[in-house]
Amino acid sequence: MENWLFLIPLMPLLAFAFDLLLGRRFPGKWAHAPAWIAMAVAFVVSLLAVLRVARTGEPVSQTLWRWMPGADLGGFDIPFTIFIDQLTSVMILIITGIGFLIHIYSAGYMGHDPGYYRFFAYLSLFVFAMLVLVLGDNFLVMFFGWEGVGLCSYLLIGYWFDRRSAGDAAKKAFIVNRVGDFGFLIGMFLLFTTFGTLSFFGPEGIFANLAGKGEGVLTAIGLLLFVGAMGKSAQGPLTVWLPDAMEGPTPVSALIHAATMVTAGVYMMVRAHALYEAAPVALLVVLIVGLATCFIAATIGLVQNDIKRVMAYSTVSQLGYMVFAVGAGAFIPAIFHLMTHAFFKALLFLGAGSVIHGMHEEQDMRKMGGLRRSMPITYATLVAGSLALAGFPLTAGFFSKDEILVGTWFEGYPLAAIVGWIVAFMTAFYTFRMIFLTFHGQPRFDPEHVHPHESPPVMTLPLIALAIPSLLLGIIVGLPAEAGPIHQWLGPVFEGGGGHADAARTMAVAVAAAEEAHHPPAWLTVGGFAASTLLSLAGIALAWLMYGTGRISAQAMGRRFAGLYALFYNKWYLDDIYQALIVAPLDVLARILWKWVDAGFIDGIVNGVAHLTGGVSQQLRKVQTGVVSNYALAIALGTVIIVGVYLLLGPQFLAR
Amino acid sequence: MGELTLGHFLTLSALLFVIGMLGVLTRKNILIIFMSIELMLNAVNVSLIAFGRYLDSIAGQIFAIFVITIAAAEAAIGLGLILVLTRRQDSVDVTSVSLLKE
Amino acid sequence: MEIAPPPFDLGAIAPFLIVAVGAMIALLADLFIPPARRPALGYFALGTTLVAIGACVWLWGGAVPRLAFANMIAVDRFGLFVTIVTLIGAALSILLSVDFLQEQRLGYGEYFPLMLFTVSGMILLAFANDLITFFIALEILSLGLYILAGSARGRAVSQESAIKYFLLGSFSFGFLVYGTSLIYGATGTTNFTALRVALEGSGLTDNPLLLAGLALVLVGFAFKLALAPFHMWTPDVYSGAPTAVTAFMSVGTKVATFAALLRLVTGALPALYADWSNALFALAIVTMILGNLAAITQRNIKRMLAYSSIGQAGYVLVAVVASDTTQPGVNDAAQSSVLFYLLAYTFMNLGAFAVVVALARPDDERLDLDRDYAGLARRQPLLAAAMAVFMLSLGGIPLTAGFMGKLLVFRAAIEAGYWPLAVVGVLTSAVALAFYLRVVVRMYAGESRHAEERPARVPVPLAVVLAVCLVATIQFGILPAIPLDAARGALTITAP
Repeated sequence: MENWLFLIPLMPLLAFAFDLLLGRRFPGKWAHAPAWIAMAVAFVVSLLAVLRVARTGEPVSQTLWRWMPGADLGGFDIPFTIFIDQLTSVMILIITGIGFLIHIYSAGYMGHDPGYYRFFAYLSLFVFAMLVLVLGDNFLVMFFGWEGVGLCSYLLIGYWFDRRSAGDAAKKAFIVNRVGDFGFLIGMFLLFTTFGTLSFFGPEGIFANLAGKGEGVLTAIGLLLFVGAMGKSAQGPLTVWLPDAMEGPTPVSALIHAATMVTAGVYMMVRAHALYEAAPVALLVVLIVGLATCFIAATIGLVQNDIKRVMAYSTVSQLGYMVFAVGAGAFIPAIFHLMTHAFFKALLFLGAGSVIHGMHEEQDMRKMGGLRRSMPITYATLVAGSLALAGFPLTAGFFSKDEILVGTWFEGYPLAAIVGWIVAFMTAFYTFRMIFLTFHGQPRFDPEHVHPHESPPVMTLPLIALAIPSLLLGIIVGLPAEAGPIHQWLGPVFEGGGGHADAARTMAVAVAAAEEAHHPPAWLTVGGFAASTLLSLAGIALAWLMYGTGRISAQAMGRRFAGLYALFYNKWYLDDIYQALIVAPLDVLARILWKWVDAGFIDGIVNGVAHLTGGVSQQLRKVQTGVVSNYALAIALGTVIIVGVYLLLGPQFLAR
Repeated sequence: MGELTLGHFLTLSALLFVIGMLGVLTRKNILIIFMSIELMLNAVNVSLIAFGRYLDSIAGQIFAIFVITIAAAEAAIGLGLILVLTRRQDSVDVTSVSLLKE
Repeated sequence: MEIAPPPFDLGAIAPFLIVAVGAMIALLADLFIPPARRPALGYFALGTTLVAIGACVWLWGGAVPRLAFANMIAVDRFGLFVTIVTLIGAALSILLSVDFLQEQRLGYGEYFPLMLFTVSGMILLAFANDLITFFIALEILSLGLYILAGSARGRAVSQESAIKYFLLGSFSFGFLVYGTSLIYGATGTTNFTALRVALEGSGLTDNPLLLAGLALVLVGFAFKLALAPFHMWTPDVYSGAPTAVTAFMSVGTKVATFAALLRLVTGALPALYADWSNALFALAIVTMILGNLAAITQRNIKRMLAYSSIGQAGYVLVAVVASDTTQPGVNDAAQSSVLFYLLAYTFMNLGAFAVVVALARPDDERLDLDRDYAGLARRQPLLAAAMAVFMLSLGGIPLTAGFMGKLLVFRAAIEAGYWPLAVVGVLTSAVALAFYLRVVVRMYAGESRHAEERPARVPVPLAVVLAVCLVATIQFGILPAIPLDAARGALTITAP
């Protein structure tokens, strides 16, 4: 089994190479075939590997090669090892499984696109990079994947590069992610100088050697890595790129900007949970940032009119749940929610894509309405996804969200849990606002020109396949609450210092043992259930009253809370704050520098290198006259200099 | 005037070499440049044979014979190339061979 | 004086003999083969190089080191490694030439025999253990290249390239021979082994004759390796010569000459380490800076690659400077990085030239970066992808052979205490990225000028060259251990 693990990342890579190089020459539109096959094989191999992990309870791994042989490079030895434990299992099943469904869907959605093969090439490359990110057993390999998914995300957001907004969004995503990656990179340097290695596990690994390292440096590392996570998972101030990223094709939004890449930050922090547990200050920052993001994004989601933007803000908000769960130390609920969210949010995006497809590229919900009759399958599956997102009792989202809130309360942050419940209410409201606006009521589009139609089976089948886990996954892995199969499955990851290190069992053992010892008390579990149920139903009911029946006028509400409405509608002025705090001051600063410091001096710094190199290069062209005598003269002069220096100055004229 | 020493031969050799080198640098006619190069090689031969004589080693003479051989081979190729050049253009001026530059 | 003829050990020079005899057979066969069948000569030449590689492998497994012909030839693993690299480069260049000659209507004539003769010179150069063998080998190699550079007889640029190469090559050869004669005069010997023994612990190291001789020999090397300021012939000769010849010249000559340089300075003149390392230190810095800077403004791909090869030679030279035999650990790291870099360079540079060859049309060689490379990715995605890999590797982007080479070289320099070389190396690499990446950007972002014409079919031999270079370039970047271990096994320069 171990010897076949390499197939998991290799298959999407092959599909990428195949499609990029030969895709255009395929007869008809068959560029999706290699990608489909690759994803299916990767999924099956992943499944086999996970079954092996399940049977033995031990991680499986395969060392592909050691990148730089240690002898020549003084210990900077990076093994490219595929490592699969229970945590990785969850990730690779999500990536290959949901990835497979989205690949199928894309064949329908992108069918009319001239760059069909290019799209599938990029998508496969993304899957490859994402798998590298989660399969690596050290930070450097993770970083390769981290950069890889960033690159693919950039390529795919800007896929329709002839749209100006797509190009801008891609650039924004790229720049914001560079900020995050810079933090990650510095964190990695700090890790290497502190631990002398970048490996996670083993007796020499990072997680086995946390004891005795200063809390200050661990906090710094934790915060720097969190900057990277903020970039990837669109948290805190780095959240601004994700809503714009919806300029990309919808399958991309589903796969990259909902199910997989944006959860990379959460995955990374859970993977490094031992490190974070040793740095409580960093964890507290994570909690606060996650909670704030969760709340703010939900409020913005309340007032969006673009169907994909509603999804985008809900994604940011749900990621906020996961992040603050990590910050509270509730790692297993975080991964649980990551898993259920991947299913229902992918479903919601694909469903939204189906609506947009059926409405001839219309995304504004105010121009929809009454679609449930013309698109019954899309309607049914979208409702299933919405129920899960809204935390309707017994759906997948209900269990995972509830576990986060109860877990957070139990870890000692009741206030955070209460804010989480408020957000849950808002989530239920905006989700069903979207459903009622889109599918119920009277059509608000022009039936003369727009003929909404159900999407082909290649698109609806993945919707159905995703709807089932969105509804049932919680019952299967989440019951009984706080001790369901998901806890038993992920439990081993959190035993011992960092999961699999036997050498040094650190304080994490004590924490884990304490967790094992007492589950949340019964009153908290039951109370949590009750609160979650009530708030979810209340949110749906309010949405029904406002947008389903119109009993409460949405306009009147908007007027009554005009201030809040404006705040939410303008996204808490986040983009304006950026403009005012960063872009504008930079402009002003540049102007001042330009005026105050001599313009020539700035030239000297900014353009100096370019000028210098270009200028010297131009001069060198002039020296190259093409006349043999001049070249001979250069040789003769060079000779005279070398001989002269030797004879006049003697040996060792240059100090070493 | 005393007897000839190694120094005399080496001085002669160095002078011939420098004359050849200056010839390469200053002349425009490719044939004369080529002859100057030959002069440089023969200057080396003078020093080689002088060394061989003073060190009482046969390697110097063998060395010189190889240098002469190689100079002959170079002459064959060089004259061939110059011949092809003169078929294309009338001049053997070195500055006329400067299409390739910058 | 009685001269005893030295014993003959033909087995030791088997690779040289195979290639030289193959060249003569090809020369004779050329008389009898009808013009239409001339490509067969190319495949014969290819076979000859492959047999010679086999002979090298056989020698590698046998008793090494093996001194032959009165110690004038030293067959050791160092020489064999370099010979194999040279022969690989030659084999790929021959494959490159077969269709190119026909397409460009260059006429086969003595092309392949000359190429083989040149290769025989390179092999001899890698094994030369005596100043006399050394300069004969160097001249065999050069004479062949002079003619090859001018082999496009009908083209003015090719003629000019040959004339320039010939005049300047002979000129610098004069310095080299003068230098060897002075070294001989100062020490009384021409043999590398004897030289080392004579210099060890002697008072000779300050002898002005010896120092002047060393300086002049280094000038000869600097010319052949195109080190600044002795590099000025390179862009003209490279751009004027037929592209297949340029490809061959740019790899084979450099590999063999670097081997000879390393053998001379570390095998024969370790006592003069302070002197030659200082001179090469200065040359390395000037070469890295000038080569990479001059490449920036070039728009002709062949001239750009010529300047790039100058810069690359500078990086190899960095590791040569670090080859201090008094520190075995440092020396091993430095010399193995020289060998690794030469191997990596052979593949990535030949690959880049192979793409240039693939684009050439009979009426137009398609050399202009702005005109002919823009939008290449749309028309010929495979060629463009290959070129991108070669450019990234030459530029030293991670996970390519070029990156590993640079990493090893700079590391060796730092270990030996030459951090200024490493700093200049890294800075110039950054500058170099500008022109390497520009090719990639042109290919992927530019508008094609030749959009309407059918993309050229890449002939099978050329496709083989591209595939081999591509695989090696990527593989050596991802799995550097295999070639690196081989290079480490080849570190014993014979000087018993």
